[in-house]
Amino acid sequence: MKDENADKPAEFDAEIKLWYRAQAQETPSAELDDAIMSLAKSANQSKKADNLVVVDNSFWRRHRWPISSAASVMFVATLLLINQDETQELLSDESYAPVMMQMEADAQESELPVTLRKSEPRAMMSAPSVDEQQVQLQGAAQNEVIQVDVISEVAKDVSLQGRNADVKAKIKSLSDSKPIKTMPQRDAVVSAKQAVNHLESLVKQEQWVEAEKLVLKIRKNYPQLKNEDHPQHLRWKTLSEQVIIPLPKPSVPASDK
Amino acid sequence: MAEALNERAEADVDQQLMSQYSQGDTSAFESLYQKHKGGLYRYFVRQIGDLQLAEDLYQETWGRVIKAASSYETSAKFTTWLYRIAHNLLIDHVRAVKPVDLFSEAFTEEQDADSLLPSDTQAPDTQFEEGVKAKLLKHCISLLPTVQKEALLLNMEGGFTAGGIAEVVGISLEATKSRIRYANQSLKACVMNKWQEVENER
Repeated sequence: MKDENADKPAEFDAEIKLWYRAQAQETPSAELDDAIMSLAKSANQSKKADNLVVVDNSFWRRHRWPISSAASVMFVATLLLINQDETQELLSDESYAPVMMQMEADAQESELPVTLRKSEPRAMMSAPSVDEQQVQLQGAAQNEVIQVDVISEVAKDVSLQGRNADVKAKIKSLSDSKPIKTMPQRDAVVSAKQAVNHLESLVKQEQWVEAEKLVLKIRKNYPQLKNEDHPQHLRWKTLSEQVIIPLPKPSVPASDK
Repeated sequence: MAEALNERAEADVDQQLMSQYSQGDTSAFESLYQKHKGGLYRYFVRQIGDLQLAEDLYQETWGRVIKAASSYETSAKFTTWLYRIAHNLLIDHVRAVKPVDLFSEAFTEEQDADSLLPSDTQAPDTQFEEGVKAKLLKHCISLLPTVQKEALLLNMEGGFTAGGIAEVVGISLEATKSRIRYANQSLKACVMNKWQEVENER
């Protein structure tokens, strides 16, 4: 249905406007005016009072996210710098070894001869696999040093005591032979008991060459086995005698007498 | 054209006064209040029969203006904002509760006829006729449907065009125009009929 007034202008007639203006114009009372004005003034004053505490414009509040982020980064970086060693250990393969192994290694380390421990820095002990080759090389060098020491010691004894041909041959074979196959540094760390056990197993298998090498090594590395109070002393003595024929006591030449 | 420019300048002045008040200038608010108090007051009083309620709503409207002064957007025309607050208050407090009873019934048929009877001491005829028709218009306005009455008051008191009224009330432009046309037609017919009755009684 079409609006019949649609074509007419949407405003009131001038006559109606005139009559409307001719009406009495009501206005609010003075009390009402005062009440509203006092409300406006009090609102303005309270707004001024509120403005005294400028919280929103605070520097720290405005930049709270960047500042807190920077502080967090600084804190973490400081922690990492302070605990650098621990971090490296955590990141290394060593951290995956069982706890018992670590404890055992510590115990074994305490039994190592001082020379060996000194020559093997802590950093090398816990070095990651990346440096393993280097560690092995150092271990090989160390073993060679040990080997040479043993040989020189034996040779010294021979020269003094006039060793027999059998012993000479053994020494010769030792000196001619290649150095002991190098083992990783970690494998070298064994207790005296373990070394004796290993020696016993070699004797049982009649691997005399290896057994001899081991005896010499044990003699060098575990001097405490010579002590009669040592729990492994008897075993060590028996086994070593089986492997290496004891050298005859040097005979004093008649001329010296 | 000149009227539109004048209206625009008035709106700019209102916005400036409002921003000055939001910055703490109470005298700016006073100017603003003096400028708009009459129209807003009559907007309430002529729609609501209860004077006390009309004054309460009037005061509440200005209270909301004061409270929201800091968040006032200069993009909105001040009078549009002011009358929208008033319209919403009127809807909330009056129409939703008692849609019929509270609206002005200032005149009854009997009162109307008696009060409008001419006296011998009154002014010349034309002046007399305008005076009588003004009183008749007041009565006729009270008979208008609520929405048409509001459209008339917004036009007469607030100075709004059809577009402005549509914005304040929240209806379409076409609906507003329709309300204005019907109100205009009804008022004219009502006043002429009443005037005829007065003439007959003379």
